[in-house]
Amino acid sequence: MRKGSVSCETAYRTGRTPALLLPPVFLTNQRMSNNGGNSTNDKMSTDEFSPQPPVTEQQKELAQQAMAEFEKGSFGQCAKTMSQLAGARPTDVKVVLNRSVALFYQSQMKQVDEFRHNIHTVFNMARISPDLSEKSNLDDSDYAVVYYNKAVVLYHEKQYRTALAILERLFKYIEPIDEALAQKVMLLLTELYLIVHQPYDALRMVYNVEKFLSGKNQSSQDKDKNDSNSASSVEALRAKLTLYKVRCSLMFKVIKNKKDYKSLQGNSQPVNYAKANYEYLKGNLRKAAKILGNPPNVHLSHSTGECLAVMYANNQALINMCLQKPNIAICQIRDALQYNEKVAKDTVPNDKVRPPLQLSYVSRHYQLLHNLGVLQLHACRPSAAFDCFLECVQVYHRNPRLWLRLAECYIMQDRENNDIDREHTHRLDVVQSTVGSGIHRKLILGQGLDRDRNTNTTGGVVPALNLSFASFCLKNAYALLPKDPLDAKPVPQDSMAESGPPPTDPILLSAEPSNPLQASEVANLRCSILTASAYVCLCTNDFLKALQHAVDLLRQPNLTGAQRYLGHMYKGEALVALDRIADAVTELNPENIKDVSTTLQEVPSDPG
Amino acid sequence: MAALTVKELASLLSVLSEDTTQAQNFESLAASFHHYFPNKQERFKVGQSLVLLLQHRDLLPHPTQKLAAVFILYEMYQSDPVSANPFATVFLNLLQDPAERKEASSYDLQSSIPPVSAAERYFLSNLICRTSKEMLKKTPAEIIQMDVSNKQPMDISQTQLFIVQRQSEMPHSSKTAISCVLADPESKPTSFEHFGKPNMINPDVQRDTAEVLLTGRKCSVDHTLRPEFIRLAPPLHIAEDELVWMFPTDMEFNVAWDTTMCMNTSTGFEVRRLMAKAFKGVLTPVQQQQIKKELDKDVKLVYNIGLAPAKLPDLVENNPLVAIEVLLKLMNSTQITDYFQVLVNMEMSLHSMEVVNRLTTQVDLPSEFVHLYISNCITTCETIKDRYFQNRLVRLTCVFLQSLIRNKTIDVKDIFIEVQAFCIEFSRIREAAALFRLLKSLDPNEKEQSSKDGDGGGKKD
Repeated sequence: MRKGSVSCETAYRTGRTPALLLPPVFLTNQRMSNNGGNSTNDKMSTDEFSPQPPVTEQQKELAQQAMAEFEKGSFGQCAKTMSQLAGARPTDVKVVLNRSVALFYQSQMKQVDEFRHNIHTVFNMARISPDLSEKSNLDDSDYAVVYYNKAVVLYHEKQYRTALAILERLFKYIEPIDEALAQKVMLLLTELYLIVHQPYDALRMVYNVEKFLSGKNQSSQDKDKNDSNSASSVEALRAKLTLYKVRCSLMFKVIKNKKDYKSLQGNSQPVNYAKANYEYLKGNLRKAAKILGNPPNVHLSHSTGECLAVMYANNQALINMCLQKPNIAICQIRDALQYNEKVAKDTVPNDKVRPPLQLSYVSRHYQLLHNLGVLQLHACRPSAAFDCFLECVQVYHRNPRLWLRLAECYIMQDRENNDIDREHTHRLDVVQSTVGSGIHRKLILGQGLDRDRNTNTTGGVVPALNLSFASFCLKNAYALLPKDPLDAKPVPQDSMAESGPPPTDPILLSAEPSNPLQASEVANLRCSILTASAYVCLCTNDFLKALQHAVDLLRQPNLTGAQRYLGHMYKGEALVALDRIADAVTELNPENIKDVSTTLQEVPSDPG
Repeated sequence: MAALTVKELASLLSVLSEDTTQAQNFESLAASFHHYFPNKQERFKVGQSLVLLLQHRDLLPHPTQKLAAVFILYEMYQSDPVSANPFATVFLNLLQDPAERKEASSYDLQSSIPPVSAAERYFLSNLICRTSKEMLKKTPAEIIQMDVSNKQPMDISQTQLFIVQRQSEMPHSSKTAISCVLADPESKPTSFEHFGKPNMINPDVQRDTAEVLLTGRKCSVDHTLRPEFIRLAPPLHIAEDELVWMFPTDMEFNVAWDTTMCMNTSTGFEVRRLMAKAFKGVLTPVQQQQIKKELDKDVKLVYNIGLAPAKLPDLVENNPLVAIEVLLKLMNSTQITDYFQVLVNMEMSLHSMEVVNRLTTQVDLPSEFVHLYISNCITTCETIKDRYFQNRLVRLTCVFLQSLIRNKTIDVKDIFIEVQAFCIEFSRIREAAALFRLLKSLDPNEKEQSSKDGDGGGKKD
């Protein structure tokens, strides 16, 4: 106020324009404030904002008592107090909510259905939308706790995206929210972003929390009030944030940020598992295995609903796979699946038992099954892998790579390896039999490779290891890929100049349950899908499609030598089948092929 | 393609037996064939079998048999033009001059049909051209013994052309195949009977062989061997980060207690109520003071008083002091840019100017915001029609700008040209002239210029 009055003085001194004078009321604030005695009377008059009676001193005391009891952990007492308070204030939304929270804790978090029902009662009472989709009530962040609680329930029930949708909208109004709650909201958001594999969003949220923390340190006015936010707990929180940052960078595979990694402190399992993952990704497999330590007991953590033994066995399996020990790896994943099944069964032995909220869904079945499938496929057991993938794809049906894997199972099953044609039994098939004797003796020749080629494609899609399902899978895989950048229209120059493209995060393609794919990985995946598609189309005698796929494949910029070779071969075969012999001859020119390695070279060599 | 049954084969072989072909003429041959094979659908597989028999001379050893077989190939499709006969190429093959055929003999895998005599070719060309039915009255044996030395075979080039054309329409890949049945006669005798007679025909073996080749479900008659591609299967897709690594969670997320229960609500409601009034009309100083007091008490309250960017103009017009208070409290919010946006775009007035001016003295506003506001002010002054209001606004703007300049909230250099033009345009107004003088006194170029003129000018000139 004092500073603000400068402008008025300026106006007086320079302009002498009465028009610039503020209305007198503004200048006489101080003087007239004495008369404010009857402002309380206004409150009692027609009050459109508070449908509830004001809080009496007694009710306030009750509320404080209940909160104290809640914090002490005596939920039974707390529930009683809250019932008392609810009797006095039946229409107070917050009282209703806290009462249901107290009851929920009293039930050892087992009465999830009742709690969910109560939350919805609260939504109805407060006339707010249960999923925060309506904007109307959002300037009122009074109900943030309800939304947070709903998100927590959803999180434990593994409905991550729904939880995320609610919290993302709540986050827009984070400022008015009470600090402790705001922090919880942001941390849950970070966790959710990591779970749904959006590392850039997660990292941004970590920065938000950090900003929030530093902001809190500066404003010391609330410090005495929040004892829980003492220095040590802030320190612990910072350590957790560092862990989050490391997990984000591991997820978008930028391992160069060593600073955060080095600052990972402590010997807790979450830290160790992140460190081990870092070494695993760097290729220091033995070190990674060492960091993971000794196998833990098969025991379910009651606070997080996780079983460390499952994770341990899974991660060791990954390491062993990279150490070229697929069979040990498969055994370990099977162990993990067994542990997983055991803890799931222990938590919910029958339908009547209601586990606490955190243990509602402890199973990691599908992630383990996905890993098992990949291992089985690489261990050349396509049929076993197929069964795993088929179960997974019902959960992770948005993952193009998973669809490709399903098709690869068929391809491998149908043709275990490419040496098959050169096997002795196959060569003996050149002459199948003889007929007759003397002058009448005839040789019956085999029909070559055609004999094995099973081209019957039955209509309809029955999930099975057959050609038509493989072809269906590849169509799905291709459809799930983003548009080929080669087909994208070039951005007009003038619009680029006008406003440069806003800096965005690199686009990641979701590949649940694995980490999302970078652009280069998407390009590799596209090449693999095109190769497999061309192959499968040749097998189904769909030569025109095969030709299209092969042409599309050959125009891709980063092909492995083997893929380029196969591209020419498939294209040549399709051309011959389409009676374009001359084209096929040029296509099959051996000069086209110089290397057949299956991995990309680091430095892209000249095409050709 | 179903093969012949044993019975059908027996019937066919009976039609083609040595005795029959010696004794009967072509017409009766045709009649007995049609008797055994009345169905048109069966003709193609019969044709295929005939071709296989023709290709192996041991299976149809006698020339009359061969000729009868060729005739039946023709007779089966007799109602269609010859060029439409699926076995027309057999005729072309046979009609070639043996002298020409020799050239290809090195590639002749014994499986192609052996050449025929000139008489037979004469007969065949007549068949194709359908010249006379006379010949059909003869027996195959008579045809073979016919003297054709002074007869020219019929010209079949037209038909030949049609056949070749039809062939060329077919894809190459369908024309490149050989039969899976290869003749492989044993040179060593298998029994005493055969000793010294390697080419002796054994009727039993002959019949058995034909049966194996031409009947049964897996018979070789429609099997062919063709050049084919070795189709390599693609390698497995290599993905670096496909396997799921599992991380234990570091956090516990539990249902939360609402700590704001039965607290603050009364003050919150009171402030909200007052704010609602403040959007509609002027508040009393006491009410304003109350809002300020409550806002100071609770930092978060400002987010909770029902204010939104859209409502800001009303608040500014009715209660500029409250607006200033609120904006100052919102300064750290993410929404503050939205509020600035509204403030810049709202109608220019004393109150809005007062709010902006007050804000500039208390916080660092984004300079683009201040500049935008100034240029808005200037535009409004220039475009307004009403002379009285224009004067008033210009005076306001001038005082506002002077205040900004004196408080050094803006750099004169940034707005110098615009403001100078503005002053000149409204030079009739006293405040504009004053602002102009202020500008001149501050203008660094002007100062330099005048100082140069003062002490440097004399020396040089």
